[in-house]
Amino acid sequence: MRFEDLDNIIRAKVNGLEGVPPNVEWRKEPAWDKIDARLQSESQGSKILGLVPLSKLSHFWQYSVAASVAIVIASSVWLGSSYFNDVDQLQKEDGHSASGQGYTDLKQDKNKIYENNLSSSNGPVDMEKILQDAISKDIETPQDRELLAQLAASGYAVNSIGYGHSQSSFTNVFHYSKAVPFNIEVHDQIDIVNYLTPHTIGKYSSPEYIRSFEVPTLPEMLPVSNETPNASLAFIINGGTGFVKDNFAPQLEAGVLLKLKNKLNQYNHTLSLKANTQYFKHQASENENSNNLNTFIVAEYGHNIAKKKDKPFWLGLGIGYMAQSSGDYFDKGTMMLDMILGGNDSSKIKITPQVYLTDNLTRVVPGIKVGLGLGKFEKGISI
Amino acid sequence: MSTLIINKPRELTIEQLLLLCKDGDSRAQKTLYERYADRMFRVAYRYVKNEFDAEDILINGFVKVFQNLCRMEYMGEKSLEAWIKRIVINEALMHLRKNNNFNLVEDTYANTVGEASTIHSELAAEEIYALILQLPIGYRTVFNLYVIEGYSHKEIAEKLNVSENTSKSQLSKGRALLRKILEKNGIHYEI
Repeated sequence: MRFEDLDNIIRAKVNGLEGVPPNVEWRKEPAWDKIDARLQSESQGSKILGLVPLSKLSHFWQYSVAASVAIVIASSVWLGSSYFNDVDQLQKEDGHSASGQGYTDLKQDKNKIYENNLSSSNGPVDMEKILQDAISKDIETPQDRELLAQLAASGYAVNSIGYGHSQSSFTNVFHYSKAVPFNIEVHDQIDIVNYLTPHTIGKYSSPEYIRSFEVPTLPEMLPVSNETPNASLAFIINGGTGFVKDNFAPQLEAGVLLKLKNKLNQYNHTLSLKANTQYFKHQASENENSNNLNTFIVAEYGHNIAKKKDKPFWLGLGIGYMAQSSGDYFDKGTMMLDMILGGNDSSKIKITPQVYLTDNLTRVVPGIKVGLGLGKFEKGISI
Repeated sequence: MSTLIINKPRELTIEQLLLLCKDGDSRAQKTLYERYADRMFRVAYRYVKNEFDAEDILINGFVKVFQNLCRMEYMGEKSLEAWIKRIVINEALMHLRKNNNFNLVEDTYANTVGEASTIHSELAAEEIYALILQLPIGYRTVFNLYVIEGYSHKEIAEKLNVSENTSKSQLSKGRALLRKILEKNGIHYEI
């Protein structure tokens, strides 16, 4: 008899068997109770959170959720880029500019003040007196513009970006200004003087307006030219370890990172594309170990949501697709989501929450990664 | 959302039952479970040879079945059973790996069948089932996957993360051991 024939006989006999094997005591009711309890608890959990498990969604809704996430990310990028268009609109509504003419006048007016002060600045500048004056003056007045010019003449720029919200007047309030050397990069500014100038400036106190005020002043006072890089491109290498599915998995990732500056010369958007390789050790038998590698291609977007320039706080989302796998830790087609969450852009160690969608995107496996920056080759670019 | 309002799920067609299961109807889920529980327990037991582990596998398997039911395209009762069986088998393989008792190179021969079989010309199905359980875990897994489930060596190699040659060699050793067990029990059966 050939193996194939014998296999067919055995297969038919074994697959035709009904019921529980003899001499095995097993009852299906208690097992059902456990299954039902698990199904109920998952159902309750979803109700409490107001979420529908991904596995319960049809393909249509799963693709819809994915498309929504993509739209949210794209919208964030678009909103970021259109932010200053809104500022221009505010300036127009405020009367500074009608078809942009007023805006130009304002700049010319300031240039005159700067020129006058620079030409008339003989001998050492009394910084203390200038700062005292600054405390008593409104940032909006022509005198204050003159003050700004004096500071500029003495090598300082007033970088007025602080604002808050007043509960009593329901207006935003200018908190403080900073005088800083104007010949260094904005993101590296060191506070020389940090003095309080509380001003309630009414309808002009919105963050947009305050920022709009900075737009014409900062580029004039800081040595910003068209050639100043407004982005940076970096090649990054990170190491670290992840904790996934009850296992520690060393990870290595490499890729490119694009950081974009806003008009205040502040990095506020990042885009990156990385290859993340995870190593799992699998014991196939007592004497046989196999090394399994899973590589995800990850695209990330991050946005700096901090209001203070010197304390960036990055928030973002990454989505990864498993491009290469070995072993059975993840099924083919596994997706990974990770979160960019960091108070300090330059911090070396980063903790990243992760979520893996596996088993045909029906099972959610949480993970966490502790990453360590191993290398970064960064170059400023103009785009 | 389904509009079926039926008091006795046992009287439903399989399509109606699945529709209710997809809506999370507990009674319908229980009916579906009862329909396949014994057979699937037997499948799990064939891999792990332990009723407690087999029950764990069955529970995990059926939770996955109900979680993924809405994604399953119903193409007849046989395809439904094959789908459930595939999930249970995958759970069994995961269980074996997780417990590190999945040994593909074990060469220790298993105990022989306790009593000599009286069937010489043709083995009964239950006896074949019992003989398969006598195989060491590594041989048994490959034997189950290849002979009973009908997977190819390539598919087995992918599932177990081994080479095709390892799968072939495990099967060959499994067959040889099965023949020895049969001979030891007075059954001369050409394998």
